[in-house]
Amino acid sequence: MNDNDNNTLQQLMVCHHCDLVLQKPPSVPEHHRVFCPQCHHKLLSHKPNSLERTFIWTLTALVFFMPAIFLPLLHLDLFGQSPSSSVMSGILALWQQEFYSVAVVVLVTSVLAPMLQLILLSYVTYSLYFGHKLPGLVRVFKAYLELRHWGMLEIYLIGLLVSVIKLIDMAEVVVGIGLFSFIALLMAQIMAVFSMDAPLFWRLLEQNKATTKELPQ
Amino acid sequence: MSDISYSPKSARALNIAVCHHCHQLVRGHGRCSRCNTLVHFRKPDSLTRTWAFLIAAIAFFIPANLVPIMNIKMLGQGEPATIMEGVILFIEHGDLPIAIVIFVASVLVPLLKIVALVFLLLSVHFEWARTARRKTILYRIVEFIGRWSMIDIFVVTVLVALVQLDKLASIEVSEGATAFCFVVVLTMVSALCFDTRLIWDIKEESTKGNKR
Repeated sequence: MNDNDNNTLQQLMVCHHCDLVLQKPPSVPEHHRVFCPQCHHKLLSHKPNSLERTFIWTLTALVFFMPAIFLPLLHLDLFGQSPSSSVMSGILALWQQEFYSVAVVVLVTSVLAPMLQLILLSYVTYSLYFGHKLPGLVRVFKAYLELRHWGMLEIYLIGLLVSVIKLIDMAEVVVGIGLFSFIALLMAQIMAVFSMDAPLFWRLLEQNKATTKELPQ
Repeated sequence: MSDISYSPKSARALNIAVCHHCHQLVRGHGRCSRCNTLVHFRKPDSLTRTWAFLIAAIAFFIPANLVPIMNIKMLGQGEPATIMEGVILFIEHGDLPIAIVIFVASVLVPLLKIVALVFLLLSVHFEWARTARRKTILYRIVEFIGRWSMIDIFVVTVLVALVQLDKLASIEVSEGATAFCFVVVLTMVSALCFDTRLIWDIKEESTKGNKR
């Protein structure tokens, strides 16, 4: 009876924006997405080779992470001096001017959340892709999902463009190497998020859990 | 079984709860068998939490717009700038597109976001059953664009680090930035606490009432 009920639940899905119960499609066709017929929420999308692509893009993003955060994004040529600014030096400047809460928010949204997201996601994809059983996978993936609202690299880039426009009248602004790394990081990170197929990851994590439980016996 | 899937009933009416992490379906409530999250039919205390963060955000919204967010000093002369003054400066320089981006992201978006959340909360309180779909879409817009208000904080961060030339030119952060930062974070948390399914519950109740 209970198994039967579980099987029924397996074939259903529920829109978490309007609580509508739907039949789960066996697969999503190429270039297609499944929307909730009642509230138009996007429920499923086709993501080919999700595991491989997510793994590659998270690794790429991690490679560019340190240079993007620590190398200068912009140089200024003003009154014979040429100060430069990186993501990290901006946070330090806020901290030195004793705006601790702003500094912490910027640190979380532009460094910690994106970095943790990439590390956590690469941990999960590595384990699933190579079949190495690493501890705490479910918890790590949950933490990754919790963080997704707080990484704001794309907004930082727009903020950077606005700053350039603000400064362009008063000084010569030169692009630094950090900016190229930052754009590469942003691209790779966006690609990683877009190739990540959450329902697939949960299915694999469940299979993974089932096999680890059998091992000690 | 196939008639379950096409019934317009809510999952709660069928005693099915959805795990908010992995979207697994759970009979009744309890812990999700897959990811061990505590599963609820609706987000717990959704209305109270949304109101709490929203009221806090409204309190910070006033200083965020009236107190300067940065202090631009050129050759010893200080020139504090609020967000609106920044927008006006861009218009005077003829950078209309940038002025629009900043105005929309920093003034309009937080304001509309607060208004939209108040509207959604009131519509649940007073059980306005109509246009449930449009309200859900409104919520999704709020959730999506809320983060973009951070632009101004990042602009301040970049400028503060870059323009530090002692007496010639320097830019300092000002208290408005803290308030502004809190508005963005608090409205984001407030939106995350809101449960759109409450809107659909009212709709379900009212159609049930009509049938009787």
